[in-house]
Amino acid sequence: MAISDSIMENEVGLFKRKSDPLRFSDLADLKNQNIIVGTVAGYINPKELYDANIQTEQVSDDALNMLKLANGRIRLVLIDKRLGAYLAEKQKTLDQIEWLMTLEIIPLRIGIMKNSSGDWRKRLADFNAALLAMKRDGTLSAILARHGFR
Amino acid sequence: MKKMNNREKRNPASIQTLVVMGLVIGATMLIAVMGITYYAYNRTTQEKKVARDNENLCDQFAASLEYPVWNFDATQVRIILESAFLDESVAAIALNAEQMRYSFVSDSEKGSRETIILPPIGNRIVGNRSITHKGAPIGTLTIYSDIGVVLAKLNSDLFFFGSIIAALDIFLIASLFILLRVIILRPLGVLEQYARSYEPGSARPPFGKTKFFGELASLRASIEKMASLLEQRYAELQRAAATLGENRKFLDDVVQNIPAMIFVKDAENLAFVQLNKTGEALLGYSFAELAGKNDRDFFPADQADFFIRMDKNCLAEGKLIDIPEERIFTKTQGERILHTRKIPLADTEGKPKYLLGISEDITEKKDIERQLRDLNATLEQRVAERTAVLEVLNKELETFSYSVSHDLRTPLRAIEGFSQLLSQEYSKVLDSEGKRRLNTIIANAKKMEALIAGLLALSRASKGELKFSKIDMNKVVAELCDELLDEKSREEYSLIVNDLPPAWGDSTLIRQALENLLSNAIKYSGKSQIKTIEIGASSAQGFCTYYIKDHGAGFDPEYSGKLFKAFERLHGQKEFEGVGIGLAIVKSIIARHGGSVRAEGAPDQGATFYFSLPLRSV
Repeated sequence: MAISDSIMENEVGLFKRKSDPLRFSDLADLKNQNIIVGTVAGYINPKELYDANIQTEQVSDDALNMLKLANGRIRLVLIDKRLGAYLAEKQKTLDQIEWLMTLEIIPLRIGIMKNSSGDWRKRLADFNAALLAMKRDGTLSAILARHGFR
Repeated sequence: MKKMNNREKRNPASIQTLVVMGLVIGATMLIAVMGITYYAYNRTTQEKKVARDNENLCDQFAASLEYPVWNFDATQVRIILESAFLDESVAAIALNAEQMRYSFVSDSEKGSRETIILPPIGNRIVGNRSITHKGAPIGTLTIYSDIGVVLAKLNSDLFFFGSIIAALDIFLIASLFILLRVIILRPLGVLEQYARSYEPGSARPPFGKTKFFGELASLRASIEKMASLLEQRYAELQRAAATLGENRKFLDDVVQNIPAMIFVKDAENLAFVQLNKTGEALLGYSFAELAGKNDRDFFPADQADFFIRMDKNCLAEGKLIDIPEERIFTKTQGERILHTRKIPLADTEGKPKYLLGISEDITEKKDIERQLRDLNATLEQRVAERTAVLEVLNKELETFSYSVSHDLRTPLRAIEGFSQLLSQEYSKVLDSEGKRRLNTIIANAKKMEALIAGLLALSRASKGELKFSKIDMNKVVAELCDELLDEKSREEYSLIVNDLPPAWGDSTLIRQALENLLSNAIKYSGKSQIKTIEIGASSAQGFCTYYIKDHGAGFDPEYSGKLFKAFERLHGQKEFEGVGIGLAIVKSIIARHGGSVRAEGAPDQGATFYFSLPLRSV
């Protein structure tokens, strides 16, 4: 599979409730306080989280984690910052939560199967060229903004 | 009789009907009880199972829902809640948690559907569980199980199995009926037919080819045995009836021919119901004429009244009455005199039913009695006259005999005395022949003295007034033994004296008789080896008989008639001394007491002398 240039970046980190007086110095401190972090089954989480051996509680999708956070069932949620904000807004709990920290930034790309019909190199090149053009003329930003990405 | 036959014929059918009804009712009740028991048991079991399942479901679903509820995973929660309806007993399920309130009910088409308000569930079991996460409650689960679903299936099963059991029941009833009919009812019908048509004396009805089993086979054998016994009893009864007929004829013949009038009257009307031939001959009426009529129809009023009064007395007293003499006016013989006995005859309850009369015609007897009375009146006078004459003659004879004996003794003693003096004072003068003749005179004088003494004794025994008193015979015999036996003799003689009853008589004379007999026994045993004398007595027929038995010389029985005659002797003077008057005196004494004497004996074998005296309560 051939991978394109980055379209945008995912900022993966932790959300908390505004009312939660959580204080910690680093991930090891979270571990020491037995803080449970809500995660989604099947997702690859940041390596630091694994390294710190922090206790996690998995659900089937991110919306549930945001709901649990808003209802106090977990104190931290590991989620894409933009996705988290989107879901909280949808769940009308955006005013109750806040971004705590970013653990990882992940570029978003598309993949083209090399064994698919047609010329994958041309396709990849065309996509990258068009992407670059959209970034430059502000089209990409406008589209993202239209869909709530700031 | 016809109705009875019909009833008898219906009996076997009734038993069959009863058996069929019994089988049907019994089997139906059995099935009903089994069905009810089965239903009740299964219902209880199913209810318990549903309750248990409900508990298990609550446990399982509460556990399954922990994380979905905790995670607000509505999709998962729905899936889990809807999966509860895989159990067909679950009627509804409800979850109440933060942000999550769901209720589902059973739906016949979709399996389940979500609802806001649960519909009423009639026969249900409700299970509640708290959903916890790490010990903290996060929601409540409620599961409603519907017993009706189980019961519907149970009812369906019951109907199914009930149908099968009903079919089996019909089959069972039919089989049992056939079995009962073959084993019991048919043989029973045959036995009933046999018993109904059986008559002693006629041929026994056949049993046919019907098979008999078990007790019915025994019953058949018993009935056959009973039939045999009945035949025997019937034959015996016939023989007894024939014998009874003969006996009745015999008895009738006896009654008819008894030489006394026998009649029977009924107790109610005193009408004649029986009269024998003697009665017919006596009264001059046949029984046919008298039958059903009473005394007033035939006899004079006064006689009839008397007869009826006596009849009523007899019936009222309930016992025999004796009428020694009653007069009756007969048709052909005029007036007769009867001796009648009347006896009441009672029925089985003891009430007088008949009156039996037995009348003896004593007319001739009464005539003879009258003649005898007349004759006796003259006869007694003649006897008294003769007796007076005889008594005078007897007195004169006794006086003469005593006088002769007494008067003879004086010259005899003179002869003997002077002969003794002659012998003593003139013995030197007399030669030997003179002495011998003089001794002969003395001896004969003594003998004559003895004879005269005997005659006097006999005379004394035969006259004089008897002075009766109670005599202790044991005492008299003891005194005589002492007197008659000296010390030496007592050693020689052996006396056996049995207990002797007392006698009633003149003690002097009875003692004299005993002395004579006892002295005879001692005298005639003197030359015998055995000197045993036995004295005893026994009582019979109003007399007490005393005996004296010895083992001495005895006597020839051919001459026993002479024993008790005066001066008759069966032994010579040289052999045994005596004048032959003792036994005559004994006979005279005993005869005067109204008794008798006799003797038994044989030469050299002893003799036994008996004398009997009338018994009297002494």
